[in-house]
Amino acid sequence: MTVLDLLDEETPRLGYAVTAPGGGARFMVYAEAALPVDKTAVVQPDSAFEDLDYSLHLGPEASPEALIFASTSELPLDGRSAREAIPFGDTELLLTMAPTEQLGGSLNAALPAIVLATGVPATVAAGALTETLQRRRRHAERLAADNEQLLGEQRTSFAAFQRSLLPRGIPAVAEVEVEVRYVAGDVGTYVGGDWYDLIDTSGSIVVVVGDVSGRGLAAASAMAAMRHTVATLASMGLSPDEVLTRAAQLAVRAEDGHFATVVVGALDKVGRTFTVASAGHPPPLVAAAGDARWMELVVGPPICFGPPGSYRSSTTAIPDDAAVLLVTDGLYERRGETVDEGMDRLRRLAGATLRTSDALGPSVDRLIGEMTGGAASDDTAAVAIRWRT
Amino acid sequence: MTDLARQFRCEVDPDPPLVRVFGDVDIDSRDVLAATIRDLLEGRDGATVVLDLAGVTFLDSSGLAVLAGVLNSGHGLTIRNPPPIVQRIIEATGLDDVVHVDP
Repeated sequence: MTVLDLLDEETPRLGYAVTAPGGGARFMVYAEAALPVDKTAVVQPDSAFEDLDYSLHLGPEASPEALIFASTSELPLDGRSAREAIPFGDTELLLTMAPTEQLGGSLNAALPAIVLATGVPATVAAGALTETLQRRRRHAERLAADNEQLLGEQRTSFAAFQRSLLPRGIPAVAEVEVEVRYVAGDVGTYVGGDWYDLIDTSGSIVVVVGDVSGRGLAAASAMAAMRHTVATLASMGLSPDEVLTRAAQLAVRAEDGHFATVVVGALDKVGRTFTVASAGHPPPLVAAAGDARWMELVVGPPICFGPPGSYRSSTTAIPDDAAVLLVTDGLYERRGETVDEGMDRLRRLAGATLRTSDALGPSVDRLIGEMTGGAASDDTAAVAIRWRT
Repeated sequence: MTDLARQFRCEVDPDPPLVRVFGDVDIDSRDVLAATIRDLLEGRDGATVVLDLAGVTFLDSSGLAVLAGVLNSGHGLTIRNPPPIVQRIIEATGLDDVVHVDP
């Protein structure tokens, strides 16, 4: 689509642009020309048109705002005058002509013919310009299509990269049912830093959910490094607080401020307890008998947020019929709502949704769907776990 | 909350380094805030900056990343006058250990 507009600034300018197909504010071709400050262009005294006043307007109306320029400041040209509309892009140029003096006779009689004679070349010129613009537009449209394809490929490779960083399926564990979810938010093409992990050790099942701040490749790379550090430490049988303390010591603090929040929980297969430590991350939710509560934790600082912090583990019993849910804050964070309001919304919904009688997978999907309204704004990682009965 | 109150802006006192922050601190404003603090602390290794957050209407992980960047570059950070929403985020993310908060 072609647009033509007057930029009414200190020095008025006339600009045209060909916009990209599909609208938006992307210009494919753009050009502009300065206009006389007072928008007056005098007809040369020896010109064939010296007895004529003319005005050129943008669009169908001869209004002062639409004036491109005129040979006189006494506008509009009314009385005996003639007008010709010259198509240009998706608008038109309005050429108005009138005799400089109210003469009778031959000039008046000739006026429509003069306008026609002036208008025809103007139409031809506008037509030629339109043709040029259309050629450029076709070229621009090809470029836009190529760009679209490249962007699509980039988005696809980002998505593939993100998937490559997440666990490829999770280990089957005899003692528990596990459901994991990663929901990409609608914030753009960049991958986020959310992750989950599940490590089956001899005595316990270690669940990890984390979130590296920021988006894009830097955040995703920082996430990959953090994820593998935490998984390795957890597989060595360290307690959750030790895992976090060591991970914080090993992590490289970035001045661009990427930091990580991580929750690590070890589910004791024999004692049926859950031992959890958190680095700035929301605690697990434990849902049972139609109710859910946030586990009480001593939350230490996020990793890579200043000097390494120290962490403490807390332990709670996990009843046979309970489901444990670990999430990233993307699931409940909303602008215009406090953290507590968001967390309470999730808590109540988890209590109502994660019911013992229902299959775990569909319950988790329903919970995420209701929390996000089907369209998550931020990325979300979630792990739900329940004893097999 | 009016849109004007949510509009991000900040004021700077050079000595001692103090930044008064207003409005939403999010992905759109974090770069401006980070650059403001960086300029203020330029050539003052290890100096502590005070952030007065009384006018902050929203703070997300992008905003927290600015605070992390200050600490990770070896500077001290004091938060002054955090409104309840910010106070709650500081507690929930275990930041009371690493960030000095003046009520």
